[in-house]
Amino acid sequence: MKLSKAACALMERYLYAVKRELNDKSRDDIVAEIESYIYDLLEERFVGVHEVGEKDLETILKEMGAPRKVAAQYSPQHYLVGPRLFPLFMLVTKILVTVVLGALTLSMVINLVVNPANNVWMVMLEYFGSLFSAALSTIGILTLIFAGIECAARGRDIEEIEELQELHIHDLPQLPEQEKEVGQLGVSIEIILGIIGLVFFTYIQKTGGRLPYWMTPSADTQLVPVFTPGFMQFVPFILGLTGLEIARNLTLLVQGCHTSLTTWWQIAAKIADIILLIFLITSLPLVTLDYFQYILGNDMVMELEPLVNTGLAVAMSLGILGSVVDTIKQVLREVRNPSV
Amino acid sequence: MMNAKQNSELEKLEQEMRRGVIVLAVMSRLMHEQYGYSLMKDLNDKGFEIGQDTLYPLLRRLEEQQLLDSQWRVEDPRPRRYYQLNGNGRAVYRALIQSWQVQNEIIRRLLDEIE
Repeated sequence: MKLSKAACALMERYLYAVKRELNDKSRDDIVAEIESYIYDLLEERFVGVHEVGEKDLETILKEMGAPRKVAAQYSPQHYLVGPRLFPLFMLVTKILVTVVLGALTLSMVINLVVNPANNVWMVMLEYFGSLFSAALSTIGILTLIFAGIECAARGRDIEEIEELQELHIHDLPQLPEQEKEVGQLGVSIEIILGIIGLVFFTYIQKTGGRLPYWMTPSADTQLVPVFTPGFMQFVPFILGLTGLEIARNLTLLVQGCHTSLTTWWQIAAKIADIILLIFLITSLPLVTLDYFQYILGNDMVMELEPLVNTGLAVAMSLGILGSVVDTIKQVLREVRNPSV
Repeated sequence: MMNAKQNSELEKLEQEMRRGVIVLAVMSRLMHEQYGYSLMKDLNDKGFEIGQDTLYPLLRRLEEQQLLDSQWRVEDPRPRRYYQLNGNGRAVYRALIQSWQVQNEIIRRLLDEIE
């Protein structure tokens, strides 16, 4: 049996296409074996036929499939990020994407607060655009890094990965029911602290940001200004949020467990806290030490006052960052494992 | 009566089950020299269906694992590559048979218990 001239040309083209797809060093050998198989198949299908035509060969080749598919069967499976590294890749990706998106959200809110003249819709549009590109870039960069690790560590053990696969009992999560149980002592302390806060802020609201001064016990107690008008404008909001927090904790005590209502309430309260902190930072100075210049001296107060306000700004910035991460984590947890 | 989805799932499970014994089936036919196509026909004739896309890469893999020896023969109408188990391959084949028999016995007992 032999091939027609056209069939012969088709066979050569097919085998050449398969060869191009093979990276194996023995690709000539593989192609020779595929050719041998095709001839065996033709011989069986076309018994007694003197010359096999192009159409007949085409039928056989179509059964075998595209050259890329045939070649792929001879190649070992390659992964960009293989099953060994994939769980770690997913974990790192989730954390980093959350942090990047959280930071972008924060910068958008700050931008809106600091530059109220900006067009809100333009800022939002830019924000959503940057969310998309930042998420894509983060995932892309991480994929490249992990692909590099995968390539470098192929066929070798990675100690750190082995450690991750070991069981650490204390890392096991609580059962959903236990996780949502309310610690009564903690909630009670939060309520007491909330009431103390409520009393304190109601007091300074009444005194216009003044606190009693007892440095000289023999003298009459007098009220001295401590909080600036910049801070005092936010006291009604602080009172409102503290009152809502006490109400939430009381609801928790009555219910005995976290429900969908209290969880989303807490998330909303945290977001409100973040916004309030941002407004407070933009309203610096919050504290004045003017009155104390009689005791500490003018120079000391001039040095101390900016220091105290900067310290407050740093503490509030850290508070914002922590709250953003915490809120994102809580939202993710609630979406994955919703409360009843 | 199974629906189309169940049939498709069954097919996948059957393929998975067969995948585990393909090596044993192929090795069982290679105590004597065979070329790829004749080996495929041999297995198919005995009811063990296997395609070129599975068999040829498997033969190459077994050879890389030094369980098979192969050589091209040119005395046939055209060149063909012949495969045969080598000493190492025979030892592994015998061990695999033992393992298969143990597994078979365990499965038989499990299935008997259900009945």
